[in-house]
Amino acid sequence: MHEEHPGTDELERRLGAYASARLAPDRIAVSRMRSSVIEEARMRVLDARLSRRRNSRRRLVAFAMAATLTIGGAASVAAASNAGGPLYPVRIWLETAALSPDESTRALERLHQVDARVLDLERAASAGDANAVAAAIDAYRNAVAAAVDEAETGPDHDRLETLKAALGLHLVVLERLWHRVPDKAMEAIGHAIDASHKAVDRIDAPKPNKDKGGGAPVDGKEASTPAPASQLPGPTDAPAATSTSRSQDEGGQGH
Amino acid sequence: MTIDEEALDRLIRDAKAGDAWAFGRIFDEFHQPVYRFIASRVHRPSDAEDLTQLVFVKALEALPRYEQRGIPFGGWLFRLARNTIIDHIRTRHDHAELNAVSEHASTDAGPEQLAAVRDDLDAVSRALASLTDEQREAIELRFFGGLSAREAAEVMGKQEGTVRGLQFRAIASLRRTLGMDLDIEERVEGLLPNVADRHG
Repeated sequence: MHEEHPGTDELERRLGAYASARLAPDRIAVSRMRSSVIEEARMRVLDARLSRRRNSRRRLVAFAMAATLTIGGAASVAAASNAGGPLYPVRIWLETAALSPDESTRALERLHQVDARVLDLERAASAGDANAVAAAIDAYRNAVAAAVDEAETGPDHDRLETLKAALGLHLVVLERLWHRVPDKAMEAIGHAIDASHKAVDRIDAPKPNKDKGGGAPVDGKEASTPAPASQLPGPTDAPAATSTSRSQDEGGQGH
Repeated sequence: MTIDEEALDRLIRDAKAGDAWAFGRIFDEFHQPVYRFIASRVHRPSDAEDLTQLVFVKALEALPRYEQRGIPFGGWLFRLARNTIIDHIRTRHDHAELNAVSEHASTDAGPEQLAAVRDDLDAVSRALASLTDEQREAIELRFFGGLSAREAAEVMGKQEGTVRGLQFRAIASLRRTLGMDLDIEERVEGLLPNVADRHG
């Protein structure tokens, strides 16, 4: 733009400062928007993929349900597929059943699945629904565990790094939620935070040479195979040992 | 934009084929300018967030019909954003609430510095508000949306030359309103007491 309007440097700087200060989304908002958009994209892919498999009766049923859930033709069905609703496990099952068999596509889809669970959790927490929060956290822990399991067994180290970066972003969201939810839901969110921390620790842990048959250490133990989902903390575990204090200033998160 | 045209074309092609990851990358690339453009129009951060999300969902729906050989993708996306804003304003009678505008100020600055920054931002805001609708839109698309003149022209449904003209006049007006266009005589006059007043 300088070539057209010489001397606009100062104006451009001031407009840039204005845009950064008053027109920029915070990280939480970006994470929320991204999760929603990706979930929408994934559901459309799922819809399209399932529609191509209509010849199988089971998949025909799945398609009908997924299509209903996606398009939201019946509000009650859509509501039932939200976290805590009776169809929530069906929705998770459908999403998992539709994961691509191709390794790299599947890894990304797993990542999006984890993003979607954080979004479920945020929605449940915003609605103040303790049952929905518990269901979403359970689904989140399972999704994280499955994603780490698959990333660890895959050949591509970048996948673990990508997953780690995503978990880092989730931690910011979860910790922010932890400060906001009613006391009843705090412990549950604490479990989700712990699950993320442990998954990150597991990714960071030195990997023994695969030739020697070693696996990643989980909870201080040396596993001979990658830790299954069941080894991540469950809702019945001891209260989450997060270092986050509820009285901490939230100013450090976002803006 | 930080992505080259070829990579963007590839992402669009993949997203059209149903690759959610590719669409996520498109989101990563464009969400900031789209949000800025929307936020400059609707003012409430929560509305800007909802509308930005809506724009990308609309883009997802419309992507199969997008022709890569036609208008540039940025222009196409911002046209969706513009229509979304128009619909929103039409149905919600949106108006700015200054206290709802979020501000991302550096926490390192002291209170005096913060006050000075705030004054400067308020001055820019008032200067933008003093532009005509078309001039302001040209500035928002070019500076906040990061679009080229061609893309901005596409969004506004005008000739590229017309948009350049609008931008030129808008910049001149902003510089004048923000006191960046005063020549030395005007500056000196502004500092000197009015002689006529002094002598009655």
